[in-house]
Parts: sequence; C-alpha cells; structure tokens
Amino acid sequence: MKAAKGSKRQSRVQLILIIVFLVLLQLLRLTYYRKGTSWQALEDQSRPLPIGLKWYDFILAFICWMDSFVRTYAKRPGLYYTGKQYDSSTPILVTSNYHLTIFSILWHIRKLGSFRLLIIDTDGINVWCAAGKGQFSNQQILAVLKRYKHDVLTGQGKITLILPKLSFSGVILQDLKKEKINPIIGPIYAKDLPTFLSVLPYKDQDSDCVDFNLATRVFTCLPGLLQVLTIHLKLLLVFMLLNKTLAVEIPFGLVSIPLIIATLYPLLFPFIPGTQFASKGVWLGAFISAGLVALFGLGYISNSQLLFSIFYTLAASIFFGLSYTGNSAISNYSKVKKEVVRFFPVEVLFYTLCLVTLIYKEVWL
Amino acid sequence: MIEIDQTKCIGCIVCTKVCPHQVLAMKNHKAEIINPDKCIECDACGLNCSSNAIKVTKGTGCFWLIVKQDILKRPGSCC
Repeated sequence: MKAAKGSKRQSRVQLILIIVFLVLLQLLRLTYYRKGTSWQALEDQSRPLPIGLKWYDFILAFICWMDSFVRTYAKRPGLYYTGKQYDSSTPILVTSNYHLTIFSILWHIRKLGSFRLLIIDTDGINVWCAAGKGQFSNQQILAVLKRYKHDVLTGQGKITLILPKLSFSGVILQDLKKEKINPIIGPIYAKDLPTFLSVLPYKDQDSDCVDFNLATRVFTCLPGLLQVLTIHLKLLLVFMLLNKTLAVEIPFGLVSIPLIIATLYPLLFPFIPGTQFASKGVWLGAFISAGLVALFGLGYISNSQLLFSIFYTLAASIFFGLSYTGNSAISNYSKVKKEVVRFFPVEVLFYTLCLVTLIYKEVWL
Repeated sequence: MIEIDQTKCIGCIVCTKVCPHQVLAMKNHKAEIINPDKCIECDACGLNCSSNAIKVTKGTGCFWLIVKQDILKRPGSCC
C-alpha cells in the first residue's frame, strides 16, 4: 500500500517537473526574435553604429547555442564599427544578423583593432542556412549598403567587402563586382579571421574547407540534447496523461535513452556503421538495444518492458539520425530526401509499436 | 547531383574557390569533379558559374526543412 502511494507520488512529482521545465522553456522563448520582424527606422539609420561585446551578449550567445534549433536572437541590420572611432578605411566584414555569429566574430577579432561589420537581414538565421534559402544574397547586401553614402562606406572608388565563404550558395560574386564592389572570399570559420586579416592584401580563401571533426560534433551535442529532451518530454507527458485511462505506469527513466543517443551519436559518428544518417541511427539503436537485452537477461526488466524499450530506442535513434542532418556540415540534399522517404515511416512505425505495447501490456515504472 | 559541361567551362576557377568541400578542381584549365561524395548540393558553384557550365540539384540537406517544404509544402525556413 505504502509502496503504491510512494510510486504515485513519484509519478506526480515527475509529471510536475516535466510541465515546469517545458513552461519555463516556453517563457524563455517568448524573449526570442520574432520571424519576419521589420526593423523600425532609427534616426541614425544612415550612420554607422558602434558595436562591441557586452556582458549580456555572453548569456545570449549561450542561449543561442543551447537552443539553436529554434530562432533565438538577432541583431538589427546595418553598418557597425569596432574601436573608438569610425574609420572608412577599415575592412568591412559581411555577416548575418544571427546573434551567435556576430558574437563569434566580435570575440575572435577583439584584439585586432578596428573593423567594420555589415550586418545584413537574414531573419535571425546563420550565414550558411540563410544563404541556402536565399536570405543571404546580393539583394540583402545591397539593401543595407544603400542606406549609407558612398564616402561613408569607402574613401576609395570601390567598396571592399569580405564575405563569409559559406555565403556563396546565395551570393553571386560577378553581380557584386558589377555594383562597384570588390568582394573577397573570407574564411569559413570566425576563428580563422585573425590569421586572414593579418595578411595584406586580403586574398580569397579558396582552399578553406568545412571540417566536420570531433570538436564540431561536440559543439552540436548540447543543442541536440535539448532538442531531444524537449520532444521526448512532451511524448512522455502524453504517455503519463494516458496513464489515467490506460492504467499503465510510464518509466520516467525512458528519457535517458534519447539522451544517451543524442550524446553518443555525434561523438561516435564516424565510427558508427552505415553511410546514411538514419542507418547510423539504426545501428546505434541496435547497439543500445543489445544493452537492454543484457538487462533483460540479468532479470532487471521484464519481457514486455524489453519490447517497449527496444521499439522506443529504435524510434528515437532513427529520429535523432534524421534530425542530425540539420546539424551536420555534410548532409547532401538528394541523399537526405531519400533517407526521409525510406526511414521516416519506419520511425513512425516504431513509435506506433511503442503505443501498442503500452496499451497491450503494462510497462513497469 | 552535380554535373559539369566542360564544353562551356571557361576555366575562371570561381567554382573551385566558392566550394566549401573542395568537390571541384581544375584540370587542363577546366573544372572537374574530384570529390563527388562530398558534394552537399549547396549550388555555390552553379550560382557563381558565369558560363552556366555547372548544374546542381540545389537543396538543403536538413530533415526538418525537407519535411516542411517538400512533404508538407509549406514555405519558409526550417527554424
């Protein structure tokens, strides 16, 4: 009797914790940038503004990183300058108005002296994603430039713009040259800006290449964890509310499975068998399922719990594999599309089998 | 999918400069695909090719965007 009461109390606490977490996250997201915001005209819209890192930029950058699957914070488009005074002879670095990108640039050039930043309106999206969707293009660049008089932009004939290398799926070099602009292909990563800017004259970074190494993958771990946690907590909430009608206990510990997947997948990515993101998810799910079978063999879980957990693991691992295509720097559009067609129905099937198992058999807490 | 029509290629090397994965290289003053498996179909090369020698199936390899645009047929970005 006492054990049953204790178990019910525990379930109630878990339910409350999930709801509180999700509500707090939603409240935080109310402070985020709104898609399609039209920036209000300022009196000094035609004058460059100073820019620098403030203490709250570090907090905003952390939130941007942590919740990067959601549009977070954006900066007002325009021409900005670092240092104490505006200098029209300093280089102009073009970038998106995604806060984390600007933070990264300002952080890496903080010791280099004065620079100018041309922040264009990419609707709060990073350079690469915006360029692919046509939101980092010649039109956006020219729209910001035309706000300023030519002698404000440059003391020479042409305006020299240093463009991020990942912007060229949206930016056309030849068309910029027709607008009396001297475009230079800058580095891919902000961390390479100090090296690039220290060598004059500035040269196109043609050999710069995207790197999907361990450091890059580790960087994607936290946002992946939060995304997975948020989605699976909502799923668990549904299952827990179903508890009222189905009289089954939902193991709160199940949320650890997608968290394990979200941690292991990026870290072990090159070593997981399979060439596709979703098939790597299946392999990782199978590996974790082998662990669950071992637990069953040792008597820790029943056969119905094992069945449910395996379906849940495989569904979550395929889901994470497909989601990771948005996180990776190497996802090919045609291949991912084929993966979605092939594996998304399989994922839905596994989640459905989870529900069937729940309804058909009681799952122990 | 990426294809180069070498009869149209003028050897300006812009495509090799803008590619983020070094998929292309110059050989005998013509652009050639050397790492096809690394191509992510971003179309930086095709967009910047002044002689229209490069054809790419342009797209973004993001699951959420593919579901939103190609399956649900809703415009806009993935996030």
